[in-house]
Amino acid sequence: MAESGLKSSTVSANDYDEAQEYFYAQGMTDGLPIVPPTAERVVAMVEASGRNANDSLGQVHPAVAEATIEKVAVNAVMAGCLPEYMPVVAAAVEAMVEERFYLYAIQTTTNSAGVGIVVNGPVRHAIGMNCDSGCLGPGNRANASIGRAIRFVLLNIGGAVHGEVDKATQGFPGKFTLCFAENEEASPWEPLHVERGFSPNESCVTVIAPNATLNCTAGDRVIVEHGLAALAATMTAPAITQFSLFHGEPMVVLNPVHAQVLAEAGWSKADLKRYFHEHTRLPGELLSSVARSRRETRPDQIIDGMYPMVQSPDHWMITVAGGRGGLHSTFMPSFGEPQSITKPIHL
Amino acid sequence: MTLSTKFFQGLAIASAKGRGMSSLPQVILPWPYDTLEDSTVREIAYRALDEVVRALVVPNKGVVEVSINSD
Repeated sequence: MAESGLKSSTVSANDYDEAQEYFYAQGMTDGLPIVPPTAERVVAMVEASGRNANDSLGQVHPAVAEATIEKVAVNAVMAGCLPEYMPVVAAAVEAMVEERFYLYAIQTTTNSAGVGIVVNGPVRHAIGMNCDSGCLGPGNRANASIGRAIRFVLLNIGGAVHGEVDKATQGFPGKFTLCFAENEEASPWEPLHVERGFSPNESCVTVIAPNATLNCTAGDRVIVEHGLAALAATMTAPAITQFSLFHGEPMVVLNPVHAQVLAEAGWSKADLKRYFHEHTRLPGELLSSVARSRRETRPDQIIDGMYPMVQSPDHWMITVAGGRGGLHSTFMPSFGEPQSITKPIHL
Repeated sequence: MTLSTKFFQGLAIASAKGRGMSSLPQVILPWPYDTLEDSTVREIAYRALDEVVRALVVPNKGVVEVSINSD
């Protein structure tokens, strides 16, 4: 791509179908068709990043390859991103290469885990993200393609070739794409990025390591009385995987109605974190010896033989997203040791 | 050197390559273990130990696969 100023090698294809087959043959897709990363499209993506093509966002494991803006842009084009999504993709890459995120483990584990992305701040509306009804499902280009771009970065830069390096026993559909925006306007509490020290007017991305999205149903008006217990019970048993290690950070995505009813009853985010921490314990006999021994390093957290899911209430993340249909909130258990990372988006 | 099971050999190679050590000697253990008796696993471990030491002291040892059976 010398004429464009890009460094990537080029291949020629006679038509769209031939280009698709090339990318399939190279193992560079997620199994779905891609947008051919022509020089023109990649240049537009690089320019939208506001950075130089050669700038590195960090090294992506296990290939330990530099995630340059140009390489990330190629993958963002392939995923179907519009150029205006590129700053979000770049910030997500910067976040996930931080050591505390343990990307090597996420990329190579037999666990189902993938990389999930939560977007906060004004950029959500500026690029038309969905934080409302169906925000964890299909239908929104920004949500879908930003998450998919991250998957391509993990595959094509990080080297997570299915079966060879990515050793997931089964995987989960969120590994295709898992990106949503928090519904800050409908939340009674401060959004995730503000909780982490950023200004409400800043745009931020948070990377998490979920291995499932679990629907938790509870009636809106009864949630304060016994719905929280139902949510906690729903979370606990399927989250055995969360118990396998001790440092993960599960996320609860409350729908706006659940959040509003809880807030009106006086619940804060901190209260909810403490509640979920205390009410999602399991008896030691259900845990592996490794899971037990890790928790026994914190005997203060073991109560009457009941072991906590994570180290402390602060390891729980509470967000608000979705529509006002009510009833349904979501629990995302996380994998192993990764700690979520929040980064500002450079617009 | 790198020690891995057959299941993770591709990952071991990719990890070594990523760190600029493509020619790192490898000792590859059989897989899966779940179906093996404890005594068999111990026997494999003893034989693997010999291979690990060889890989560390003999140049260009390449890839050595430790089999389940010694004969």
